[in-house]
Amino acid sequence: MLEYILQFVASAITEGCIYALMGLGLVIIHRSTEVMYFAQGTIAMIGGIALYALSTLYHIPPVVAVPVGLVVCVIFALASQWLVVLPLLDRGVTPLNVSMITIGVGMILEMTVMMLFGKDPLPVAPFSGDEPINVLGASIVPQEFWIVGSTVLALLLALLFFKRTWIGKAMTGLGDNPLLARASGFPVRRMFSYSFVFAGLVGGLGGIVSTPISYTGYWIGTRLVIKGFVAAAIGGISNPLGAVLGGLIIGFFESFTAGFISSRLKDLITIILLLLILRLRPQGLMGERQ
Amino acid sequence: MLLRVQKLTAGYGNLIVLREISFSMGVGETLATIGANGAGKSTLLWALSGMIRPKSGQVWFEEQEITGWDCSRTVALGIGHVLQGMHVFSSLMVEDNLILGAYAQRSNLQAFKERNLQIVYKYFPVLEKKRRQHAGSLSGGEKQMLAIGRTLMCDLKLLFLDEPSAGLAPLLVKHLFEILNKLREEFSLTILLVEQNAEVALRFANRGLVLAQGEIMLDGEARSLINNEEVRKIYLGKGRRNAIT
Amino acid sequence: MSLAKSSAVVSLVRRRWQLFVLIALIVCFPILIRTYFLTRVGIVLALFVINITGMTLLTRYAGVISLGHSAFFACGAYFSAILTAKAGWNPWVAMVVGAGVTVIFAYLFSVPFLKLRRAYLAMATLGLGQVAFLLAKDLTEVTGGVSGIPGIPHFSFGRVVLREDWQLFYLFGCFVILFVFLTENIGQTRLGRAYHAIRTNETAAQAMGIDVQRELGRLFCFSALVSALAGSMLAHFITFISPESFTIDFSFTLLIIVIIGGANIWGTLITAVVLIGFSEVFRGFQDLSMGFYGLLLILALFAFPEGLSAVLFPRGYARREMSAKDLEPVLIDLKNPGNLQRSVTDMPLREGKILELSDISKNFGGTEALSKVSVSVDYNQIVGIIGPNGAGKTTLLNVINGFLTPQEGRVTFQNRDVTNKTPHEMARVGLGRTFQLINLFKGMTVLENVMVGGHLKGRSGILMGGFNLGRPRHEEAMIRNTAMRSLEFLGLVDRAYEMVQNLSFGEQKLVELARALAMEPELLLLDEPAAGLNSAETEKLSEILRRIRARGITIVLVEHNMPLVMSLSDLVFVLDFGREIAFGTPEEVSRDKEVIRAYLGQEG
Repeated sequence: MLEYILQFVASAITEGCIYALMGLGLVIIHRSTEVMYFAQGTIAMIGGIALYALSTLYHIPPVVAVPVGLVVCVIFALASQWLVVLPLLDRGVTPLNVSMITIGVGMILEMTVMMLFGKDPLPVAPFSGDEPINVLGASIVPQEFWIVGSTVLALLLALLFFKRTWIGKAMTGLGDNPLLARASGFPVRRMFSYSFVFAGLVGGLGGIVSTPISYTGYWIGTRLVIKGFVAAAIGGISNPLGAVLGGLIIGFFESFTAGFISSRLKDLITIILLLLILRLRPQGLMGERQ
Repeated sequence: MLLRVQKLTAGYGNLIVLREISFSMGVGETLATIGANGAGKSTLLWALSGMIRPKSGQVWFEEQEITGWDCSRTVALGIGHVLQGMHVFSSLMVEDNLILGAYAQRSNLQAFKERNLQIVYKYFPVLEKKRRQHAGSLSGGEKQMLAIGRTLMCDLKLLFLDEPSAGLAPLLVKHLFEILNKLREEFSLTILLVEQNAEVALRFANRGLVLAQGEIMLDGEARSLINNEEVRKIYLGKGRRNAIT
Repeated sequence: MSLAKSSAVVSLVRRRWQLFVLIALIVCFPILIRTYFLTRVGIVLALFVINITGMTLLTRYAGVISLGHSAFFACGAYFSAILTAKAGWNPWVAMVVGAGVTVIFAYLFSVPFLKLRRAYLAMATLGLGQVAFLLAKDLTEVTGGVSGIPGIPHFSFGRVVLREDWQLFYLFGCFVILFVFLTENIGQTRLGRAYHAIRTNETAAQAMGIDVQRELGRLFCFSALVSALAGSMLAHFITFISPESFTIDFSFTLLIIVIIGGANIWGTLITAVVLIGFSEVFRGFQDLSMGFYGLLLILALFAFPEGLSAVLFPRGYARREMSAKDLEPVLIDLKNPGNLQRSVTDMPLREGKILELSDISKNFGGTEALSKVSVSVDYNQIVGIIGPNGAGKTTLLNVINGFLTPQEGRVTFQNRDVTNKTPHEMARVGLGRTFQLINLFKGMTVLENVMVGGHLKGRSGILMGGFNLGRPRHEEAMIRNTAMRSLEFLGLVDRAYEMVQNLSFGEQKLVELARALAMEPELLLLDEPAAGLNSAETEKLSEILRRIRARGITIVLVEHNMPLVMSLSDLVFVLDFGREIAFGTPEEVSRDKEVIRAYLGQEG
């Protein structure tokens, strides 16, 4: 019995990390622009695709492929910001409508990937082999350690960034009091770009490290962004830590539902969680009442 | 002239709030802009510091035209704008709030920090005492001091104060203005003060500008505007336009 | 006689030419297109269009973004499938039952979620769509799971089984015409204006008497009904359904069509034809269609942010323009005294207090905005409320209006306790309101804006308004009549057909006043009516307000323009820090020491 529970905990944490990364990117962009960036999942997918192209097709080792993949994700995120999000906001389109439009951005990227890479699931080799490691009876694949480890590293770096660097503190301030940020002379538009860079990095990382386990293909973006979005909603749309917490919560609910009730119902549980939170506490567990 | 404003017209969307305002300020002067609400006082500061773009008119700072310049450029020049309502970054520490006041000069952030942080602490010792506390936990008066202190971080030359006394107890207001007085003397600060409390503002300033319905009604020495029947009439509805007293 | 009739018919066709073109196209389509394939495309198109009619009203008019309409589509389809294929019911009965059940589900969803902010509501509908899809996929015993439900019977009329494509095309085409007709009518009359009002300025909409929650709820259920019917039709057309047809892609496609298509049904219709038509015809590119739609969405939003409709019908076709000639017959009819509602021009003079506030206290999380404020206003008075910044004047207006509920105290209006009433209920009892910053409904003409003020004069619901026969027409005529009189009163009749955002600031303020007058209120609450007006405009305003009072309407106004308030008011009420500091004639108040201190600071 203990092994079962540990197994579920392991998969809960692993899945939770990916969702946490998705949610984190969404929250950071939302804090500065009020746009819900639905293309975040597609960015993650691009990370996975880039890894596939570099690693499987060109046999480039992960040490190089991962950073390159991250750069690719950042480029796409910034491009979508410059070409679509900012121009539309400048034209006076409301953030809600721009959010809908980012869905379109995601779809375009998906279509492009589908045309270039086809419709079959694309495999990528795990970073350090696939011999399961025995931890207290639970069997854990090395890639899962990569996932959790890189997520933790990313979160630590993010924490350091927002709490220790001046640019990070300024961005925190921007999310806190946009009016004061402007009056203080912050370069607000440039800071919008930084939030997209951050989301690109974080989303891309999630896509990249999870690809060896779950294969990649043009369709995974939608699923990821919905989960990320639920994570952000549960944790609090304005709170980065909340998004991380939300991701882990979803991870746990899904894992235990799959383990103890039925694996078919696990996606359903997530949506029901979302509906409950929206009804009972729309600002999320850690958000402020609007 | 440190600041010259020529026929400034500004507003929001279709709404014109300021109509062809013209005035100027010399170095070290304190100009109090008073008038009832809706007269355009805050809009004046917003149009000058870059929070909104003027619809027409020109603004010169140190003989350089800055009309329509965005906040990030005006702050770098040494124009500080303290918004109405004791705004701070609640989730950041007091000291971070202060240092970010110089963020517009971020290429030289360290230099500005070293130069100015001690000055701020000298004049607002309570901020030094609470330097590591979250700004959200400060009292109203302390937040106001923090807001003012932030502007000092950028080699301040021209200070815009938007209703600094709003929401503060009279004793605190007195204390605040005493500190401002000292700052003004030591650094030859030029201050454009917007206030609804005409009495306090006129006692602090050299000159006064009385606005009503977006136009300058009176422009004269502060002393002469205190207890002035004309001013009273303008506030309470029976005054007429007059050039200088 | 026949000449009059034929000219009436001609004018009808001229006004509704789009509908006649549509009917003609539908009739001719299967005859001209004799290929099996294209007729099928036409059927799929028809089903999309039916969905689109409901969505256009919901999303483009009322501004509710729904990412989950696939749920209602699926619900109708699955109920039809299960009841007919598995339980042997008659398809028509199954369709009706399925639609009914879907409406119940839509209602149950709307009660808790419709009151959320737009963004959260959109998220919730996303969840709804996902839930429906997952249930369809996983409840295998009921829904057949991924394999779906086969063997669904066709519709039949008596002994004629409708299995030929052209038969189904005509059947569905009838529904298309019906729903397009309903949608167009709704969009152009009272409810359509109300939805537009809700989208552009919900606060003002409430102040005009529109019960936002109720109207949105009904509209949401209506759009769910329409989707459910379309779902049933799909089931009996393909005779097989599976979860594949009800994914999030379907909801996105609907949304994209509605966003690109714009504010009226014809724009969205054309967009649907183009998008769905192309993707069906070029079936090989089926998988690319979503990306293609995304690209189109982005391009369209750059090229025409207001949607295709704005490009095709630049004068805001969505609201049918009436020329003076169209107006006349209606006016003549209403000169009959029996039909005439009480008009703005003559109201009896009354005695006593129209409004009384006793000991009103309101605080916001610790900050006290109003503290034991008491004031009373007699019929036919003009009372001005003044006070320094932050004194609580707007809070006071919002308490009277119902936007805020006081912690303590009572508001009495015409001898009724209205303390806890909501803004739309206050509008119902005779309270009109204008706002400090312009709260007009952008995207509608001046006349339409003012007609929203007359919203409460009508009671027709979605279906009655959709068919637009009898009572709704009468109500519409009355509302228009009252609106025109209101515009006449303010000298704005020649601006009636202009888009309201093209007017000057001063004119917009007058339109807002006209809109409030069209409510035929007993009491007018005006929040800084002179803000932003130059001296000529202020003079004009002063004269207008006097004329309004002469018609028997009581006025309470908050103002900073002292010359105006002092010259106009019978009594002036002064607030400072949420407390009353003076209440008297303008003369008394301007000499009051406390007032002087409040505005100018301490004496000496």
